[in-house]
Amino acid sequence: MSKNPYEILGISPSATDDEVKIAYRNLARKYHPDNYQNNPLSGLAEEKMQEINEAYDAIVRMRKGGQAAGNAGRTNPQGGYAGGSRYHDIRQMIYANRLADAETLLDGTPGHARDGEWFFLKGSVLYKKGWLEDAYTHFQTACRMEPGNLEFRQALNQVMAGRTTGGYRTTGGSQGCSGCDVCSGLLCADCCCECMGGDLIRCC
Amino acid sequence: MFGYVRLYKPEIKMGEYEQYQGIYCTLCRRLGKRYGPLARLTLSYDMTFLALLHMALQPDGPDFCPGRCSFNPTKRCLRCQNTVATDLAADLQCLLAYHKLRDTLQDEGFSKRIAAGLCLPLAALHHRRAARRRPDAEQRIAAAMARQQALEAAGTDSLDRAAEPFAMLLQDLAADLSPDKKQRPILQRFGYCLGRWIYFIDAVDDLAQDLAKGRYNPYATAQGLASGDEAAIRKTKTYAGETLNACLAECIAAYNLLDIRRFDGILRNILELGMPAAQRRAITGEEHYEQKSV
Repeated sequence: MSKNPYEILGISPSATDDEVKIAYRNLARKYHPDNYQNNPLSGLAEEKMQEINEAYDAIVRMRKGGQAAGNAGRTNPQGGYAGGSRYHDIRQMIYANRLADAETLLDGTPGHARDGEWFFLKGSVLYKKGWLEDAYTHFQTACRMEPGNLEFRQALNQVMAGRTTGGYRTTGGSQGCSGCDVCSGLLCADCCCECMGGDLIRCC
Repeated sequence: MFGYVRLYKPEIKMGEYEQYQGIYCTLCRRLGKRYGPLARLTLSYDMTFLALLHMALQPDGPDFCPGRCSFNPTKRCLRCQNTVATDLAADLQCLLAYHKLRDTLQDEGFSKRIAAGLCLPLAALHHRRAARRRPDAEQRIAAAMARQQALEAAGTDSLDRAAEPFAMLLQDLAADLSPDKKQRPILQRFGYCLGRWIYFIDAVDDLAQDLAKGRYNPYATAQGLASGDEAAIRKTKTYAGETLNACLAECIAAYNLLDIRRFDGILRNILELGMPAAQRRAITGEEHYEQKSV
């Protein structure tokens, strides 16, 4: 690896083990394949993820004094698909970002022959093109036609997550702590105390 | 571009704010230097963002030095000695400002048309000089504007199609921001989604006005809105919020992959806080500063 593993994780070499773990987890969440489903940049995200995994492994190895460290359990982003589909070629094209070819082939399918998978694939092409609205409706149609299909559901969920949260942080800390938070916190503390034999709130 | 891509002041660090101001100041100065004092009036936050992103992707920094604002010499601000990024932003600003004026001249009301007509000769002068400096960019902008007008004249009812010309324009402009070839596809995706976001937020902001004046608005056409139907307009705005969120989420996903060498704090403040605040402002019409409860 050309770069220093600590630089990759964005921490100083003097960071504690916990800090390393937290930095790794934050980055892994950021570059997780789930965030880049149907994204033309998924290959790059995968590279980043690998870089982080290697950096983390290297640090763990160094700190354990040369002992081999286990890989941090990454899931395969292409896991969802089992072979034997009539859209095999189209899937390959979409995966290789040959979107125009894939779209031409898809559009050649007559209207009555369009099943859930057709709508899912067309939605994937549209999403990669950046046509997020049409992609959303296509994923919805795919899920309506085949409600049991996990692959379609996952794609729809990811799009919906982006639509509701926008992928940004809410204004940090400005919500503060409401009255409900205070009460539920106290109740929790009371339960803990009772578990240990003590009591915080007499009446409950 | 219309001033939506801006900072969220309550959450920015003082040092970062000074740097941002310094870049803003330098952009203003370069506009004056390259196009004359009146060109400074076109200064915008969007172009400051572009300059900022350009600087963030270069191997060499902007090289700040202390200076003073030329309009208000008692005010100190930082100044960039390396002006490659701000020069690019200034040129693009003049190109875009001219095309925006031409657009206003075509589809706005009488009084705005008069105002635009008065500004046009000067803007045309700036535009000619900028076009000579950036012939590629000028060609792209002119082509995108022509496609946009054709789509709007045809009254397309697809949001995606309506946003395509401006999104493609930003895709092309963003692609050239980094000297590193590996960053290109990421910047293209980033630019495309940012362009969509800007097009959509401008459409939400203008929705009520467009409806009242019977002008084309992508949301009104896509949802079949009629003027005066308050409930439907409110529902459309909620839906518009979702479309904006979708664009922004994709923008941030692409940004996370970029090789950002500096100003990450400022850029994230804009993407993760400033732009959502602009969204809220456009959708609810409320000022975006939230009261801290503690």
